[in-house]
Amino acid sequence: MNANTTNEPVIAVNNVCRRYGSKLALADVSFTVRRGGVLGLVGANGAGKTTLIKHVLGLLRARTGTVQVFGLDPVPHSVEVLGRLGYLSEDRDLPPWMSVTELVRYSQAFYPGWDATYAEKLRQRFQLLPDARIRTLSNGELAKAGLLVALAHRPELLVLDEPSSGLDPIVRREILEAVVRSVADEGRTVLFSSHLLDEIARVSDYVAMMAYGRLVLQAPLHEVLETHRRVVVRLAHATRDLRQLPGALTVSGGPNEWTVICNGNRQAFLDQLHGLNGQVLEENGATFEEIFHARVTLPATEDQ
Amino acid sequence: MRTALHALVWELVWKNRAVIPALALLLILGGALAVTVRQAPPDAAWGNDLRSIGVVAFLTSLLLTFGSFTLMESHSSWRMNSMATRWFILPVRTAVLVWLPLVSGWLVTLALVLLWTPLLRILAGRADLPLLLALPVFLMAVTQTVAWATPRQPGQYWSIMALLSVLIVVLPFFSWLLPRWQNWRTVSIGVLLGGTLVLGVVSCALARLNRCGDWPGGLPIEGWVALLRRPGRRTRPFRSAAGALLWFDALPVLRVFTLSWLLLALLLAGCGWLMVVSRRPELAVAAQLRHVAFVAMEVLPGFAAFWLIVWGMAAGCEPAAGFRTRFSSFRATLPVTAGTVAATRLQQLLAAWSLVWLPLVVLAQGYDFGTGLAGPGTHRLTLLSSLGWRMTVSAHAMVGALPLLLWGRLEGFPTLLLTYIVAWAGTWGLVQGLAVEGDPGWHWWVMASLLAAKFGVAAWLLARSYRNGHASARFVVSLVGGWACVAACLVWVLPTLQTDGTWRAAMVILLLPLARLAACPLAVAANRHR
Repeated sequence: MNANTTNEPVIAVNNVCRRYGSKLALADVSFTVRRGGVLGLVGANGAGKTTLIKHVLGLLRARTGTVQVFGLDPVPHSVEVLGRLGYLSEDRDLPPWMSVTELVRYSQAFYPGWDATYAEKLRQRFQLLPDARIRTLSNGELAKAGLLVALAHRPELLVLDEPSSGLDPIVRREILEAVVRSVADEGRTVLFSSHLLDEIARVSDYVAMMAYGRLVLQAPLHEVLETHRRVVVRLAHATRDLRQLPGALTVSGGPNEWTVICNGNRQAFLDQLHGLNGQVLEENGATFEEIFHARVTLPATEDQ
Repeated sequence: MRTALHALVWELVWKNRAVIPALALLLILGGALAVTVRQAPPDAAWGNDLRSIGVVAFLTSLLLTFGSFTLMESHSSWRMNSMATRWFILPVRTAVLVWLPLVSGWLVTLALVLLWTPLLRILAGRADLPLLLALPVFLMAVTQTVAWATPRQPGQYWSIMALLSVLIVVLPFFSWLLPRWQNWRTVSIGVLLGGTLVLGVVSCALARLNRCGDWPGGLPIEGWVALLRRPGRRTRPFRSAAGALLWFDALPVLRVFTLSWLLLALLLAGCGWLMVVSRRPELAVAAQLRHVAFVAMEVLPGFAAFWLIVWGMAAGCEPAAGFRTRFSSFRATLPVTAGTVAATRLQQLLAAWSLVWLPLVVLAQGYDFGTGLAGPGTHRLTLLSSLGWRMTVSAHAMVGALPLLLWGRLEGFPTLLLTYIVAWAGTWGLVQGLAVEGDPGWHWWVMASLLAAKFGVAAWLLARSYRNGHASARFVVSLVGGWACVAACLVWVLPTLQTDGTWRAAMVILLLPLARLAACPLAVAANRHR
């Protein structure tokens, strides 16, 4: 991912499945995260992001497949693994009866590498009052307090589950993204889940897209943007066969003018399009949002 | 649904879909008992037992209706009852929201009392119908008022209801007031009915305030609780994670426990003092005080056992999280072993148990009823031995279903209560089943098998925890060593073996929890890694 990249993956998930009753939350998911950089995990609500993250943290035991973090199984080696990572949960369930100072002092006891100076700097940067009780904090302040605790021991891996929920756009951009970038720039790794596509696109080096419990795409962000195209075509006759074009992910519009989001071999796409008496009106790079939409709605696309 | 009223009535019935069959079952049980009792010989002991069971079934059916006829309902995240916003935004008059559940509850109570009255005449000899109606009607109004005073604070609601239950349990102890009761009966019934109406009006006012946001949804005691829970000033960093867990998680709970126990003990001492003064006014103050001490020795152990069960339940829940047993993500991702977390809970329990019992042991050491507060004697030995036995039973009941709670799959007050009732029933069954008079004979084989099973299971659980990295060697040694010390104290230091023989000593060893404590690290690990 960057100059500090080593061969050993920080996270290695292999063939993990998870079912909640009749609902399949994770379906044979495999992915690896290498050291350094920011991996943006993106998916709609209920796509399986949080379930996947909980497997990485060892909060869910892999019933099938394996999960390794820093080369260790996070369930039997929870102390070793959790001591090296920082986690901000979606729930922000910090102890409500503690003050910010008490929360910092409490958390400090668990992490030998706690940097008290850095923690104080973060507290000031996040404008958290030391005597403020956790229960009195707003959603945004709770996220900041959680982020402070997750960051202050300078973890090798920072796991942020929907960190932006409850944060206003200014805080999101000025604090969260800046912090995430600075952590990544220090050679550490960030796993960042969100359903805010613009945020993922701004912060991430790598992206992983999830839909219906499956990992539908994992690649460097620039590669994802480069390989997906948005093509507007005109056909002489109305047809529904455009979905059969090589690399076509979604097709919308009609009856004669269609917009196709596609990736893969451009020449093969164009050759087959000409076979249908089609003409390319416009071709440009697809936006991240279009790619996401194309990928996560892939099995049931009937967009006419 | 034709009208909003129909919808609300349907919802109340649906909400009580488990309670209504339970009431019917209790009524059937009462009927069966009444028929059996009628055919029993007049002086048969089992007939009296059946009568008691019948009365308890009636009281249980009354208690079941108190919480059921409110709008409190299960909250998705807490899994315990609170009032959801949807009630507040329904386009119906506030008075309907208050009076409909209350009147439904009263009607059900009336039906219950009417159906039970002929049975009670057989089971209890007589049934004071006006009183039987006035008291539950009043208590139901109290419940309704509490519900509307704490719609957003389920913890407060259940705590007040628990205190109310304690009060109901405590009242029979004041049997010394009974001779004068008949003089006050009519007035009391009038006061109860008047109080009911006042509480209905107060509930309406609170409901209106809640609907327009003028009431915070709970009693303003957050500040006091926060003050009690404050971990105290400490500027030095902690040397270990265990220290931080003890300081921030266990000590605040222990502080609340100590204060509440002191208050309860003072309250009971005050009641004891009143009783002594009213019954023996001719005694000098010093003699009255000795009587109060005697009352304390007799009464406090029973309350201690009850109080410790409540705190055992608290130790199974997350600190300051009401009745939530599942770890929060924040605490589940702290880099500590399950054994360290379990050890904090066990230390908390041991401290609470010691806080309650050690003062009583000290008091008993210097106390002899025959000769006042002077020196040793057979009374003292008997008293100490009896204390040792009660300490054992209370430890057994206090630990109760702790591993089940730490397992984290049981949440909410009703589930917790059910867990504890099952655990308590187990205790009662064990104590009753092994209560042997005279020579135990073949019962020794049963005892030996149970002891072997207990130690075998404990050893297996500890070995498994150690092998899986959930518990350290230090945890294992501390648990086994601590258990051995406490067992030795209960058997030899408190003279159980000397005064009650080897059978009672073996029962102490059997009842003093070990296997359940050994299961705690595995339960915490299962809570954390699902």
